[in-house]
Amino acid sequence: MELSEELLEQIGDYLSDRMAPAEKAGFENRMQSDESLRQEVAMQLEIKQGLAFLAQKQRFKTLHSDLEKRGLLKDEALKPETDESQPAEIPVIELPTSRRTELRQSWSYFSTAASVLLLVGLSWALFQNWSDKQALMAQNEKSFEIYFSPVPKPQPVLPIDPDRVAAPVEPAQARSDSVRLTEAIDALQQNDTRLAISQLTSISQGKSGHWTATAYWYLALAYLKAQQREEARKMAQQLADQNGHPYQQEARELIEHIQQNP
Amino acid sequence: MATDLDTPCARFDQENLAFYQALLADQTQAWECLYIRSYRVFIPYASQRSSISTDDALDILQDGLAEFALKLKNGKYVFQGKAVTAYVFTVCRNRWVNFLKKNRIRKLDAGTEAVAEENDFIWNEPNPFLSTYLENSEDDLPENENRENPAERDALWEDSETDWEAVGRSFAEVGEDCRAMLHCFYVEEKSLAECGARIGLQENSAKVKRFRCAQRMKALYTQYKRE
Repeated sequence: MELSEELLEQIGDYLSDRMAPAEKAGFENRMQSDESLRQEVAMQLEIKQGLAFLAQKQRFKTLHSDLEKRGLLKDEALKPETDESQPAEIPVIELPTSRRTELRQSWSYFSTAASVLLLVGLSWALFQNWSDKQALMAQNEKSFEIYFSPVPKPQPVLPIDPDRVAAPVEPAQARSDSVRLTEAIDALQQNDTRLAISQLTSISQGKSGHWTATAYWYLALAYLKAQQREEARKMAQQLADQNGHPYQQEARELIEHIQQNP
Repeated sequence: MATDLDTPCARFDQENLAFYQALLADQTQAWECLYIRSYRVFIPYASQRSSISTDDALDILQDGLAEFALKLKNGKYVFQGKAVTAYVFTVCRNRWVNFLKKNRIRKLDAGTEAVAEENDFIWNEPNPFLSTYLENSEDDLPENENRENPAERDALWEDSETDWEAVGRSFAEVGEDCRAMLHCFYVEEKSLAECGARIGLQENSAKVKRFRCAQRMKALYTQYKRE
């Protein structure tokens, strides 16, 4: 059966369970008597299921990256097994055989102990620094997760001009921006922050409009994800001060969230 | 102080009806919890019983979870008192067995300690369903989702044999605008106006665009499925 716009619409409604009971029964009767219709519906179902599967898989890939970053996928069960029947080898220290040797050994122990202490101190300082950094990174990631949405707000609907029903209302630039924005958001979702920042910066520098304004919001989130917290805050502050910006409220909340979790 | 973000499973210590309902309501923490549990059970299981790479094991795990998510959404999986993770584990294990067969990889002999080892993989929370399940399902056939909800059987859905790879290959080739439009239509099931707005088209133009994209997707899918 040749696919038409109307048939695609009908099949879409049928597979999404949007048909009224009577309409659904009628459509199923048609399928029973028309093998080509049944085959077309089956084909559309395969595509629908396939795309839904791909979307779900992408979701779990993103979830994995997120959980891994938050350190939630560490598990003792994943580490190589060790043989507990053989205890770890205990170092044997031989006793000195003369006083001279004893002095030399004592000095040696003293210097070793001092080195160990120094090393422990340095390690502790490094660990503290690393630990603080990890906590800050996790906090940034959490803030990003709270405010990030893979779907930007739609452009406000403009009154339809009845004389131009088949032509897009927006200029070509706006259309291109929306597509580029979707790509940038995809990159951000796939943790490619460098690419996302580059694309979003480029969009935000275009002619003012809904999509360039939206790009500023995602740029703030991208900075947050890239651990450039201060840049993210500054960007959000700009949006928060801009009356009528589509993400003004979210920007205010984000600033508050960042300030509450220094 | 640990928050719910640090421990997604804190609210779901038992795999009961509440956990299933949280998944059904698409609560992020419930999905995070299910992922962590499935990961901890399945990855060591697959890695220690075959020579597959961790990347392949992860791929199988994510395929299995995607399959489960779709079954949950379309009602083919319903809660019947057994741990959800045990069901996900079965789906993943069946996919793993198929992967081994397809790539001619031999299963390593887990020996007589298999059951004990499997019990070790269970998270440190009470879960009698999963341990019982693992003990009794060493070489089971794939658990059929229809057993979960026989009332939902429908010939059309049963006959569907989606070639995931062909769908992925076709989708990659249709172009950015079409990808946005097709995802919006087929997956999110949004209105034509909303799908059109995403790529800067008003409704009438969006209808033409959607149709052309669907035609292109169908042609590519038909071609790649045959190959």
